[in-house]
Amino acid sequence: MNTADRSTFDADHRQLSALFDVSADGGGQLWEDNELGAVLRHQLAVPIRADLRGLDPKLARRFDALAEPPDRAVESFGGLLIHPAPPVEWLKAVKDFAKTCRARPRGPIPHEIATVLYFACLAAALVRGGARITSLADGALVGGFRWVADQPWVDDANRALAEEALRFLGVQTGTRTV
Amino acid sequence: MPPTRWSAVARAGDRSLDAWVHDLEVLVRLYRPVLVRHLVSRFRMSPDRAEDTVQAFLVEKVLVQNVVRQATPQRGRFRSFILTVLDHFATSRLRAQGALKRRATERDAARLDDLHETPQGGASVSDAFDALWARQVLARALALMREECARTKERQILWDLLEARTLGPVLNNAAPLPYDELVTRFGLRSPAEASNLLVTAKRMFARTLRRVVRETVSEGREVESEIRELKRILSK
Repeated sequence: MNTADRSTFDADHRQLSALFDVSADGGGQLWEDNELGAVLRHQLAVPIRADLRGLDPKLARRFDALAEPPDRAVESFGGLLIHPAPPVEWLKAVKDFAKTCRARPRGPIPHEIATVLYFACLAAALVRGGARITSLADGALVGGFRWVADQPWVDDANRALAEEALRFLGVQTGTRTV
Repeated sequence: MPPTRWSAVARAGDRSLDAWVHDLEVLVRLYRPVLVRHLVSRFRMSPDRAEDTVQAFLVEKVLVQNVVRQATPQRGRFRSFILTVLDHFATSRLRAQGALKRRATERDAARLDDLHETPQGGASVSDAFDALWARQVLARALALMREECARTKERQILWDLLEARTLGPVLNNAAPLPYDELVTRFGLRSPAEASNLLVTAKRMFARTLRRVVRETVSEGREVESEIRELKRILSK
């Protein structure tokens, strides 16, 4: 009998039962909070152009056709999202990138990070770009912004952006959902 | 893959068919570790003695007397059937060997007497065996996945990641290896790549587990309910 077999028979039965929960969609929590925080920090520092080009040729062509950004700070995901006047077309492109990542089980970034990027783009467009770049209803937007604001691993700037968007939609903020 | 669905059990018990040797072999391969562990736990046998008893059981009851042919879906799960037959066999053997008189403590004797007389004892024995069975199903699924992953370098990394991230914490109480360490250790491009590969590894494990369970139930639609049942058994 090999080591793995012995482990299977010796392991705590309740812990072991979790293996029956491993679902065919690969579900279950993949990332710890601190890891998600690290991945988000990394993602915010990455040049937008590189990631969009790598994901989908159609998205890459669309991105290449966009006007140059007003300043170089916009060229990273983080720079775009905290910019006081972000170009809305860039926000739309990043939003679509995030949406594509969310839809792909094997996307280039974790689902949670894609979700933050997605709602951060909607929030930035709403409160700083003066545009609504989604057909989502207010209820869905509020749910998404709240989710972003409630994640302990989300950076301060994006949490503040989500809370600002909530206030923009007339939602009281300041108490974190637990 | 061990064919323990009822059709395969029937084939293993039908000596007029050519396939019985093969089907019996794979049946034995799946059940033998559980039967040995059951004897160690239930009769407090040493592992060596339990191995010997199971070997004798397989030769006398399974190979010579062909008890497998008496198993039918109407008589309940195959594992319950084989457990009952084994317990009868082990009890008779212990008594015949005089081991019961010489060695058994009062507690051991009471345990043996409980076998067929007290429903409560019977239920707990059955639960204990079911728990061993649930562990065996997982062990089998993990062994199969490990074998498959070992065939190519691309797949080996799936096993390594599953072990570092999921199996280590469950089987050995190890902390899950952080993604940045996974990236360094396995030469990956990014934590996201590690995450994607882990999702693939989990899918592979889930598929393998379902293959193993599928071979132990009568119909495909019973797979998910059997998995829920095995989880419930281990969660107690």
